[in-house]
Amino acid sequence: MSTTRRGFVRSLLSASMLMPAMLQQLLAEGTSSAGQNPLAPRPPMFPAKAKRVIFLFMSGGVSHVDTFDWKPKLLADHGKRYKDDYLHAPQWNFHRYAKCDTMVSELFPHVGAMMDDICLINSMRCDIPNHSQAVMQLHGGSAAQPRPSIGSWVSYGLGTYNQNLPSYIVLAPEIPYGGSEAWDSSFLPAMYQGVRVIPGREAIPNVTPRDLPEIQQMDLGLIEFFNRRNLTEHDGDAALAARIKTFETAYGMQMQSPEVFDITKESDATLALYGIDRSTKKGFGWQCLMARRLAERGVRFVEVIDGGSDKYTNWDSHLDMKMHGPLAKKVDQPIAALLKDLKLRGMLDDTLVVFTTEFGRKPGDSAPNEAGRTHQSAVYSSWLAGGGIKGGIVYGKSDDYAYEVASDVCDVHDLQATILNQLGIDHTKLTFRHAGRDFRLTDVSGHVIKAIQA
Amino acid sequence: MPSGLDSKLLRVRVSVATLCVLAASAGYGQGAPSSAEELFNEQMKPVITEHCNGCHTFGGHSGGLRMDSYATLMQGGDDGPVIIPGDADSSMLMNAIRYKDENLQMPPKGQLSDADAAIVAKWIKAIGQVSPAGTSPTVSPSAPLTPAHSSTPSEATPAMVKAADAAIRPVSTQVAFEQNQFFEMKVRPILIKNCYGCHAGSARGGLELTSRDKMLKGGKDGVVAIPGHPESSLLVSAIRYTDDKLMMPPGGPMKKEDVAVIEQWLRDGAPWPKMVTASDRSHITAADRNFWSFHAPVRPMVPVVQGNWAYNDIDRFILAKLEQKHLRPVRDADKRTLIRRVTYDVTGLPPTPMEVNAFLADKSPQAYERLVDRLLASPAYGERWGRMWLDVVRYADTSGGGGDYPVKQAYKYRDYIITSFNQDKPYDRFIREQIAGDLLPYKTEPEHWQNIVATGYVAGAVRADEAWTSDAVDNLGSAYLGLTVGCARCHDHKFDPIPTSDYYALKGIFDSTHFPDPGSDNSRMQTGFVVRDEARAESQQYTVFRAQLKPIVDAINAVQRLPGTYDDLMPQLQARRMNLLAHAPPELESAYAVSDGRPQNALIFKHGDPTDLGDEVPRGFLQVLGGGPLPANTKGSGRLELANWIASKDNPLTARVIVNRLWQGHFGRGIVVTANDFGTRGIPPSNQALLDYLAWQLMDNGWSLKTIQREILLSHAYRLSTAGSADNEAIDPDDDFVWRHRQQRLDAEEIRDSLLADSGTLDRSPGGPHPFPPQSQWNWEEQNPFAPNLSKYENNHRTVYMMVQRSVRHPYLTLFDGADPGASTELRSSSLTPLQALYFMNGDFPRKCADVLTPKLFTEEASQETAIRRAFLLIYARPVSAPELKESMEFLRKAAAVYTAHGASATAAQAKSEEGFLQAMFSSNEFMFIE
Repeated sequence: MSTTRRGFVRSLLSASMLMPAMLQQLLAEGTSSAGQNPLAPRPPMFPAKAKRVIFLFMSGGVSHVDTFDWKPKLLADHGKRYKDDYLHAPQWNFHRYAKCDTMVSELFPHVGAMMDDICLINSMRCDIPNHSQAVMQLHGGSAAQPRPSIGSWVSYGLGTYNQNLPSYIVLAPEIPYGGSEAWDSSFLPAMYQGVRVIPGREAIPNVTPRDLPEIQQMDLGLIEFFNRRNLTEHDGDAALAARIKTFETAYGMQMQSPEVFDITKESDATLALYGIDRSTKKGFGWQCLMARRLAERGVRFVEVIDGGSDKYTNWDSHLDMKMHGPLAKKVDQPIAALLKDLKLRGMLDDTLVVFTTEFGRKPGDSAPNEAGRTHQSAVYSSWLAGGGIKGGIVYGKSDDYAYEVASDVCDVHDLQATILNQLGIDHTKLTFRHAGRDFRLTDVSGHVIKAIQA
Repeated sequence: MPSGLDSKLLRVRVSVATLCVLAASAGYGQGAPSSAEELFNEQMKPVITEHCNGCHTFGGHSGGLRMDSYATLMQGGDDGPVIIPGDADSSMLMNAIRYKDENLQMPPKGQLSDADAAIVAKWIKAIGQVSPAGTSPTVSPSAPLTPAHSSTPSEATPAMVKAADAAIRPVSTQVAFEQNQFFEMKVRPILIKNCYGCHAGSARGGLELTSRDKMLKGGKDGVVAIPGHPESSLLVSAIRYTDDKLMMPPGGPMKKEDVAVIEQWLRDGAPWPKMVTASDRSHITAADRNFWSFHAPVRPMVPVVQGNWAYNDIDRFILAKLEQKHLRPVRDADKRTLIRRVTYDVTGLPPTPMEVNAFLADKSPQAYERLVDRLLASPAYGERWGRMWLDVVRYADTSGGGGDYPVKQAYKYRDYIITSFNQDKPYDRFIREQIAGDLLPYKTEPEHWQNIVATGYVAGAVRADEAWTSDAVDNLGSAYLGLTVGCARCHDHKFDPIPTSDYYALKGIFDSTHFPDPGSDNSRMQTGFVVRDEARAESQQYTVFRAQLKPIVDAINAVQRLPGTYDDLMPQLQARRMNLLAHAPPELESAYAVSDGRPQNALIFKHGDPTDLGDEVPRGFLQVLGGGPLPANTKGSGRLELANWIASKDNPLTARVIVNRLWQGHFGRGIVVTANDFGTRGIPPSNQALLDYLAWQLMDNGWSLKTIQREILLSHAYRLSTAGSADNEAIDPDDDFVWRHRQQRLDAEEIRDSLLADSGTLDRSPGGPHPFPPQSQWNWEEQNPFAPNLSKYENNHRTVYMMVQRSVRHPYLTLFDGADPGASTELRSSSLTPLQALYFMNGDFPRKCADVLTPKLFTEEASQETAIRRAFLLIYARPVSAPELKESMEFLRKAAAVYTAHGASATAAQAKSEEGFLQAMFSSNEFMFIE
């Protein structure tokens, strides 16, 4: 057994609730460095502003010029030639919102009203304007290779508060581009993988125990007994150990899940805020409320995904920008509700809310009468709120027609570095050795955007 | 790591670094003088031909070293350059032939005569003199690590030794791949932006930075970059702006992060991937073709290895590689492990206790061979390996288009695949049938019909976005050629030499093919399927029916085309259609298959936009693989010609791609890890000689897949245990070179099939068609697609026969990483999630299987102890140990007591505890993993 592997197994298993003493003995050989559960909460590298993240991901590519990046010149020069394109003005008006007077399109009136709590970034940039690669880069840092997702990195770095729930939960009615890679742990141990919850009747399948609690305890004890012997014979193999851990998490999920997913005890006011009622079991309002409930119960990283990989139902409005209309209507109120709700509960201070998408959409097109917009990764918009981020400001600028970044670029790695920073993690120091090299989320890039910190 | 080993490794690394530096400073490489080459042909050729032939010539490249020509010899091998011009004593080749290094003694079969060795030594010396002294070597062999331009060389030395350790460590192919990505995404853009103004064409200061060789060669000031040593590289001090004699770029310092990138890159050894530079890809150049997978495999000579570890030639290739990498194969798997492994691998099912016992009892040397032959002959083989192919061709039982219409005939193609594997149909024939079966000559009508069914491959293209011909091209590239042809749909392939025109040359062939319509938003019924009995289709009964149907269909189409919506009219028309279909004459036997349509060339969709049309492209095949336009006398679509072009020994990729899939299926990882991408962005083979050997074996054995699989399964490499080895892991963490076997999680099919098989409820007969609703009830649309009640489709057949929808993933298959029915799956993932644990804890299916199994094991006449023994043999294929028996008995007693306390009868309590016991076994890791 190599020393690293033994260390790994020790840390993995010694604090586990189902783990009887025998394995402890096995692992006690050599000096013990006080093994701990790898998902136990760990202190950050430096004092953190945020304890958890709610990551709102709009799949398909939200058009920046139609939502959060106001470009009066684009409006004025509609139909004119620029580069090889004809410019196309947004189809929606922009208004000044909140005390900060930030311009937001009428697609997002509710979010607009919350702009005093939001730091808008109009200088986002990623490498490749293709869905799968951009989704992959947003989550894992690399557009070329599937890598551990940001939620997995955060779980790996900080552990989680609630051992009865996964550290990283993804509320996703559909699967985005690139499939489940978006929340995969890749080379990080599998326990850091995001657990996808499909909104619907039984949010987590098979979560209802089928037998008496004491019987189930005995069942699990027997499985544990078999697995432990097997693990001993296999030098503490990492995959075997990881699967043992999945049973422990599953047991906890089973205990806590009914309460977590039961929204009937929410107040009328809260439900109204999200625009849902007590019988609601899915939809974006439900997802946002559930994000708050999960965050409240100690889940470290909650990702809320809107849309999948179907361009007719996600934000990939190639055919007609009008398709953004119903999508924005669906998410606007719930997102604003989430911010308000967190604020009311005093949670916004230490919860970082991120609103993003894989890339923006091109303000012009080679066709003069094109109703839709194609992909653009050279500049787009995202925003952050809470978690020690300064509200009511706009960071970064795109050029006059929002084709490229004009100032204060925020590369997707910068966004990742900043998210980790708010959690008290130095993105250059959170590494994992894999195949002979230390990997990190931001690879060799990434700068913490200091200007937006409260 | 023991310090002895450490220092030894270090020594090797430093010496490689030394060679690199020397290689750079001596200025040989591409620009080597022809006189050195002449000397090579004159003096060295005869020696090489006599002693190195086989392993290093005529396509042989053991250790990455080719000695066919001066240029390839000077390129060196995996461990770096082997020749240092002018310095025979330091040249790796010389030391190898003098048997100086016990790890590298060449040729392995015996030392060269002194006379021959002298010829080599003389030649190395001679080329040192004829080599142009463009810049006189600033690094002398005696002090190889002293950087030419470090201001404080004496201080730099210790740091450099440390850096060498980090930089030249053995890297896995995965890491090499990452490094290449890093270069393309980060390094190259920085060079282009900051340096190419002066150091690309114009070579200011004698320095060009357009290739690794040129960079290493340096400029007027000598060496500028030392791989592994950024801190001693002039290049780095220049861009850091720390050396006031040389600050680059002159206009102002680069961004700090860019400097960091360059430093990181040099630290990694400055890996510089081979780049295809053509910007206009309408013609493929020789440079484009200069990539391993675009050249037809040359049958490599089988390496000569020592000892008796090797059972067959596969092992000789494996062992040669292991020895070269200083890896040692681990111990063999025991017989129980082996029969469980090979039975799952070949059939996808666990071995029965009887099979295990028979194998253990068979002490003859042929026992394992007989086992392999029995398994390969089992019909379960086709169900297992047919599934591999169904993954690749993204098989589904529904269309994937608007409405996701069920295709009730699709199962015929699925069954054809399974049967073909079981028949060991020659792979070239298998390809021809799937792409152009309808166009092949035939002797009997049943044969013709089977050939037509086989074109379900083409018909099965994803219907979404009306882009089935594009999907057909994409899948053709991935499945047969291992190329991401689909990337060339909107633009010339960014990395591989596949111009957009090549993509549309292929697409034209499918545009000239008639595809069946499985039903969509508009039509809501099947049209254009291939009917077996055409004469009957023209009988009065059917012509009359079609005449009745036609006006309704026409009306529906007309309404579809009208602007606006007709919410009242359309439902009426559809109701009439459904009503008429309910009274249709008996359905004729038909297949989801294609036929030739009107031959036509495709127009390029500019940027992939079907409304923005470009030039017409003559139909044809990929140029980089030696393809061109269709022969002038082609009559039909060109599908038959396409099939023949792929199913050819001359195609460099066809055989390699399939043998790699077989290898991956047996070892859990391909020789090329990216099984669907053999292009420049794929991961290169870990052992190309082995891959090419297997490709040749396949072609020389009549394209018989089973023959290759048999050879693989009988190899020693296949029979290794999964034991670890710290020494090996330090060198080859990913087991690229097969020093042990990989533990694997059961895949989705194996889990369910094992539960069914162990519980004795597996229905071994073929699954047949699915109980889809009749066409008279079809009324699905984009927003309201076919949404079956899955419980109606459940059965106890093997999982390969499960109904698979394309647009909605099956929840069970999704839970355990089943194949993607919408796109080619090259390799299943093996996730481990709490949701899977919940499935075993609370799911219906595992419990049901445990319930059914209980009375079969816990019979009236058997004691509980006997039953437990049976259970272990059945589920784990091994006897129970004493502690396990004790714990299990204890569990049964306690669980029964709890049930009794809750009011259960003694009998019921006992049964329930026994069910729980079996469920626990099914839930355990030993059930879930194969060693």
